[in-house]
Amino acid sequence: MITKNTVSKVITQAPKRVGIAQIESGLDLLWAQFNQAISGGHTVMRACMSNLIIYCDTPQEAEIINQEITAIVNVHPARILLLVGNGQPIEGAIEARIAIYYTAVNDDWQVCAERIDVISTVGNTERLPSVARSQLIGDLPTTLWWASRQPPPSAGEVFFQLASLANQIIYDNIGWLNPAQGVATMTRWVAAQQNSQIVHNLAWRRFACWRKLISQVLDPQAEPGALDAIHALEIDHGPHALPMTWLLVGWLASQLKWQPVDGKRLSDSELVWRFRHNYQDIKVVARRLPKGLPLIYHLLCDWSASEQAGVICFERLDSERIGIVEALSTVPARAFAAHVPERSTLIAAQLAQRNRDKIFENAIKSSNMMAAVFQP
Amino acid sequence: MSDKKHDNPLTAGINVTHTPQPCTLVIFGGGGDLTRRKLLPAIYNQALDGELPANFAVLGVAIEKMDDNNYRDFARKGIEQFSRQLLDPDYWPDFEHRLHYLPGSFDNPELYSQLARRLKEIDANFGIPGNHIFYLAIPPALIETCVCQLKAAGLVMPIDEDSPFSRIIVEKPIGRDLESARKVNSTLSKNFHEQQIYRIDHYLGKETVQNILAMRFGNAIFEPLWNAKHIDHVQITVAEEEGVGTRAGYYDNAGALRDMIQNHILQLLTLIAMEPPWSMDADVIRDHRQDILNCLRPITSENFDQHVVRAQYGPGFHYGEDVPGYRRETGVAQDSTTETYIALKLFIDNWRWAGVPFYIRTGKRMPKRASEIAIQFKSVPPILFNANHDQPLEPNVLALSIQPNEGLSLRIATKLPGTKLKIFPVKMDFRYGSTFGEQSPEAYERLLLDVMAGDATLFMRRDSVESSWAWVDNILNNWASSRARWIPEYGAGTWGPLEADRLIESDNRKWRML
Repeated sequence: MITKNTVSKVITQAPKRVGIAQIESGLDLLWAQFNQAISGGHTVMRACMSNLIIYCDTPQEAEIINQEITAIVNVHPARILLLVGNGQPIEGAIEARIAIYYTAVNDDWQVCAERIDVISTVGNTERLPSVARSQLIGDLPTTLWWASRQPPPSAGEVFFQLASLANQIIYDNIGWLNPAQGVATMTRWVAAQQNSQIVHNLAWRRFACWRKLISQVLDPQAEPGALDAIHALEIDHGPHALPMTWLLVGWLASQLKWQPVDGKRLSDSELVWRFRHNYQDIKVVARRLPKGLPLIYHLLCDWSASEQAGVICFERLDSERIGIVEALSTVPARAFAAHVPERSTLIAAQLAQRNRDKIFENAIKSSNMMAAVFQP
Repeated sequence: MSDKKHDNPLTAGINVTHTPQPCTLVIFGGGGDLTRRKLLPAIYNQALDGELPANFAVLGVAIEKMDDNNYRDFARKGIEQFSRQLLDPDYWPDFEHRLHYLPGSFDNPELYSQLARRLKEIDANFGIPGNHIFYLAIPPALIETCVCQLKAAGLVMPIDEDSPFSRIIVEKPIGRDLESARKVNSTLSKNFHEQQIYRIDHYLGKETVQNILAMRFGNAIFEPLWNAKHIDHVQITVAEEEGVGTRAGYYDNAGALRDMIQNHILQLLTLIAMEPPWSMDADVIRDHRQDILNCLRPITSENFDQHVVRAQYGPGFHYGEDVPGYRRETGVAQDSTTETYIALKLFIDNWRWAGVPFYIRTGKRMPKRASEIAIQFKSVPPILFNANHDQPLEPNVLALSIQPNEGLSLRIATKLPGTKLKIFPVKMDFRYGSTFGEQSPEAYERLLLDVMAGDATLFMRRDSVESSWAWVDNILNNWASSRARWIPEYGAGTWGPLEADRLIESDNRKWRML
């Protein structure tokens, strides 16, 4: 028996195994059973805002995503298709599991979502797009969240077929095995897209706080001439945060009209680029810290001229704040709220996005140009 | 409209829209697949729902050697497997008592003499006043033989208020082109009056299809928008997930154009596009539907490639399983150029629809079974919420889902909750299955009842069949003259070939994702 809870909370049950051809009827049955189980004559609406296709490689990744789905559907009720490309079906080469999610809102059962897991062995991933194609709810926005650890285009046909079903593609380059190569591959693919699909890198939302801080602190009203005079940038990032750093630099380059001249790897943990703007060189150094989270930890920006010093150094103080390091800066110390969001929060927020982000696309183009001049 | 009046004062005040009259239903092909899967379950459901007349019987006629008892077993198995309502063991004895069987070859005149004798017995046993419905669930090649023999055996009554009725139901395909359709129709006309002929298209019996008229003319909000001024385009999709299966023998000679477009889809189109009828009389509605067929712009060789795409499914996946391409299916020629998919762009040249394209697609081995008519309205002006030229708002779409989930939905733009002004498309959904407690009857249930009641509204008239073929013949002739030895291929389990995407994308539109 299912009891009602007046506090909004997503509830789900253990996924149930079904044949691939019985997914739809299986979900119908689960909802019918749930409708019978609740009392008070309320009818459960299978509310769905959109379809969300998630592709990941392993059951371990799927398990992590499973925990995030609850948070996602709480904000954005959707039909979720979780595709596992290198899974271990109990029987055969491919199998499906289904589950429903329901949230009690006030006195009524209101927000509902459903999940379809499709698990294939590594040799059968090519079958997954056909299952996804048959299980999407028609005429709803469809998002592909590429949660694999390989850059999407590297996965080949599986990615291209899934991408063709989606209005929006979300990817995340944290955890890519070869970040520099991955960034180059992905930025080239994004830059080549001509259609109206939205492509979004979660890193873009992750460093949104940095964009806001830098733009405010270096605003011409606060620091006249600083944006035009930047000649050095040093960024320290945690492991797996190089792509995010790359994108941040790409954003600065695209907005400040920096042209990449060359770039190279100084060591296993240090990359350097040279840009040019208004006959002035800009040197950008990205250093990976030996440990930490996939975040940007330090960012130093130098726009000093011969007659006047101008430097600012930001530092992540904790998971909630970023501060200005007074000893290294020519501006007074301050701290800013800069919450590190959960991945599920980022996904849920992005699902509602219906417009292409020109600033992001320009940042990607610059990242692509940075990749083109980079000598690995 | 009924071909015979039966004034019964006792039916006054009984709320029935259809009054089926006492009759015996004779099913030629009574041992076949259609009978087992559709017709007998439909009759059983009607009987269980109390819709059938009290004086009613069924006589199956087929080549298979069976007696009445064998036939009742055959019927029971079909009903157990395919009926929408469970078989009721308490009711079954009464129902099976009404089922009879007559074996024989359709080209043997003796069969029809036996049929006449058997019908007399059944009519006498069940108090049926000689009313007979002949359902031809048989291959097209046998229609002429069957119809002529019925007439020769004196089983076709004239249209006369004082004599019992004879009605004939003919399954599609009526011919395979205009010439052969005319031949079938001539045969029928020589032996039956047009009022006695019911050319059945089960699509027209579906709840949503019937609801098209109710929605258009029972609501004030749609009809004022139902024209070229407000509608950008219409999409009709009939997607089948199955391959050719056991129908290869028929299908390889027919193809998607003959199998789906000529009948089902053009009939749907007429309901969507017709002018408001001035009464619900069968012939008034059929006249208005016919007007649309008369206005269909012919597809000529000059604009052929911009309006027609055909394709065949290749190997692929169906629910994750490997499935063969069409040419590898059992019973299909390895060099077959029969289309299993067709996409069309067509226009209706009348005042209401001038310039509005109707995009139609149908195919086998598509990702899912889905039939839908989608009316896409024009976009709002490019100001305010639609000011972003790069990302225009998604236009309103009214989608009528015919199967598997009968219902309709309206896509509208709405503001997302929150402090920012973000617009998100949402669907307002109505589904028959979840809105009404009562189950929708199967299409055949409704249509059989209509025949018993003498209502031909949902059946195709001769002129309609021939106009459809005349329009389709243009396409067939173009294909025949091209002598193509290859047609485009699409992967099984996909939404069709790239060529079909180009057909619609060249107009800056897209197929809907179903």
